[in-house]
This record gives sequence, structure tokens and C-alpha cells, in this order.
Amino acid sequence: MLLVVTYSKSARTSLRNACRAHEECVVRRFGRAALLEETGYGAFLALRLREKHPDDVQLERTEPFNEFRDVPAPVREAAVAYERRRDPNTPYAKFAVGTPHPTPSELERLSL
Amino acid sequence: MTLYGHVSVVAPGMPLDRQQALAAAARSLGGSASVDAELRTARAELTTLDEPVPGLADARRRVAETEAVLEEKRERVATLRGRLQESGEPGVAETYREEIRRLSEVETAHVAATEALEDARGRARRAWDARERRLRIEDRIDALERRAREELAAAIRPDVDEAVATTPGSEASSYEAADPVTAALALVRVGRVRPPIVLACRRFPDAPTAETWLGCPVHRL
Repeated sequence: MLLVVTYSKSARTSLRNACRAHEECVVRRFGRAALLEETGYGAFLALRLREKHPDDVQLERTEPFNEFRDVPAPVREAAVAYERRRDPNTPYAKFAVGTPHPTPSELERLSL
Repeated sequence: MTLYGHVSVVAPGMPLDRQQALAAAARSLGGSASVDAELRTARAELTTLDEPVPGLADARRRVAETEAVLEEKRERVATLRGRLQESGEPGVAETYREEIRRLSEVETAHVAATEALEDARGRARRAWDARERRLRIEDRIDALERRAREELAAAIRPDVDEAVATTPGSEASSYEAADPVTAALALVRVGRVRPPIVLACRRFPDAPTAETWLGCPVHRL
């Protein structure tokens, strides 16, 4: 999908108007951002917004997230195990000690 | 805008932002709002934030172009490799070596373009962070201004409602229900206006009567 983020009041207003006028290509709208359909029309709207507000519109392309394809199993398992921890006050760094789960710095270094 | 800005020309059909004008009338009498200090701070913060966002279009175009050339070169090299394995002609071997060399040049150019785009994106992200802070402050200022207007308007409304009821030619009993001319005249009577205002309405028999009732100098049309 196409992610449109705005950084000024006028760009935010333009985005709101564009989304209202072209609901068919809006996947989701947030306060000052929106996800548009990945079609020529979605791109047309996004590019018009950037043309109008060059410095205040950021465009990105997003991909559906599939943790079974994109994320190594140890990361998935660590997330599940940590959310099921007994003591809600245990920080993750402490929780991971003495377990097969990756440490916070290992997680940071790991690129998907 | 000052009260004078709202009511400098009083004529039928005049535009009048009721809430803003009411707050301006309160300000003209030295009224203040509980959020005034906060507003000043927020406005001062705004002036310190401004960073241009680097243009990324050239860097993006360069990445797309080098990528297209790279694809083309890779296919060419693959084709030549196939021909070389089949025929083993010396001419093909020469062309193959030459194309390999070109491919490596194109690869280098593509890597450089990708890195340049990454750098530019990093700079843009920092500039957008600043713009995001700016937008938050602007939203906060809007909210504070609304709050200030509401407080100021509420403080002065009873006096203005009373003035509306006594305005010559008025049929309304409240500021909100009054026509723009009545509303403006009531604001002038209650608030403080120094420069002369222009009256293009038939509510007073002559200028001195108008000036006495309004408490400010007038030009009559």
C-alpha cells in the first residue's frame, strides 16, 4: 500500500480533502496520514499531494507483514513467551537470561 | 485581530466572526485569559523551528535508473555466457570480458546511488521530525487560542447582550441572535475603539448622537 504522511496543517487539510473525495482508493485514514490502495489512482493522489506540498508530504510503500515468512522463529517465540510471563514487572532483558530467547541486543542486531 | 479590525466599517451585510469579535472586545478592555502565558511560550517555540527538507527526487531517480541499467547488463552477460559455452568463439570471449567489466561499473554506480538515497532519507527524516514538532505546537496553539477566546467571550457576553437589547433599531435580545450591524454596534459600545469607525447604517439621527452612544469617533456615510 502507499503510505502518505503529512507534516503541516495545509498538507494535512489537503490529505483530508483528497481522502474524502476519493474514498474508493483509501484503505485507512489516520489523523495526518493515510494508507492508499496500490493502484495508479492511489499513486496519482499521493503524487499530487507531494507536488502541492513538496516538503510536507512523505510517501512510502508498505508491504503486508507475515511473521511466518519475515521473522525468524526465535523472535516469534520470544514475543509469545514474554507476553505469557508470570510476573508483569519483569523487564525483557531479565526475562531472557537463562532461556533460549534472544537478548535485547541480539534482537537489535538482527535484520529482517 | 483588534476590535477595530472587526468593526471598522459597520454596514448591512458586513462579515463578522462573532466569537473572535467578542474576544477582541474583551481584549480591548484589557481582558486576559488563563492560557495567555502558555500561548506566548508556544508561539516563541514555533519561531525556533525551521529546517528545509532535502529534495529526494534526484536520488530516487538515480537509483531507479541505475537499477534498470543493471538489469539490462545482467541479462546481456547471461546471454553472452550462454553463447560462449556453446561456441567458444574468441570474439565472443572478448565481448564477454568487456561486458563483465561494464557490469561491475554499473553495479558500483547502483550501490553509490542507493547509499546516497539512504543518506538523503536520513536527513529528510530529521527535517520531518522538526516539522512534526512544529505541527504539534501549531495544534496546541490553536487549542489554546480557542480556549482563550471562549474565556474572554464568556466574560464580556452579559454586557454585550445588554447592549444589544438597547441598540437603536435592534430587535434582538442577545448577541448571537442580533444582525451583524446591531452586534457590531453593541461591541463598540461595550469595548474600547480609538480610531474613528465608518458607519454606513441608519441607526442614529446624526454623528454626535452616534458618538455619544458608541463612545468612539465615527465617520457617517
